[in-house]
Amino acid sequence: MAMSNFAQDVSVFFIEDGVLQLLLSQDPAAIDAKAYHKTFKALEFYDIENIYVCRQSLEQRGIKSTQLCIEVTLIEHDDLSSLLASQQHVMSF
Amino acid sequence: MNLHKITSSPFTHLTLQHCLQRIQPTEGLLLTQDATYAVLDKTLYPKLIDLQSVYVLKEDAEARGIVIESGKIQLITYAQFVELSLEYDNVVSW
Repeated sequence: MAMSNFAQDVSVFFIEDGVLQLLLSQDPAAIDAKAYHKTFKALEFYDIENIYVCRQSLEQRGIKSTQLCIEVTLIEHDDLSSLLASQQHVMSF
Repeated sequence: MNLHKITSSPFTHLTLQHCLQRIQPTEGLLLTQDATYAVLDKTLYPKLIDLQSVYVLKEDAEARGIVIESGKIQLITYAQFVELSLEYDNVVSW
């Protein structure tokens, strides 16, 4: 979100266990953790519209895209490399 | 009899798989932290519910939005976890 403040065109990728961060029904208050998934809704106000989620990662975990807290673009395994290659900078979290 | 405690996700670590290869059917298995994601794993799930005593830490599952549907898996609180650790001879942290 901070990057988009500098008028950068930002894309966000969720792969493997990262897709679990998007689950709608999380309640991290139970373990005194921050409810990060609620901040994802703000991405659109930062003009971050390219939110990519790996379809296979969801499938492997039995998650449907309707169970996610925001609207996302599903990508295939093979799409990640080409999409990442089109980015000028990459940061991993 | 031992209680085996797993903390890492089965999608990123092999710990749960390694434990399931060795655990006795009557021993206890406790899933905490990211190990609660194991109930989403289609290949491991049948092996989990084959065990006599599988526990999932309620707070950790709820925090992650994980819903436990099987009656064969017992949701326990932190307080019950402490009680369990006394009931079993040892707690094995994987």
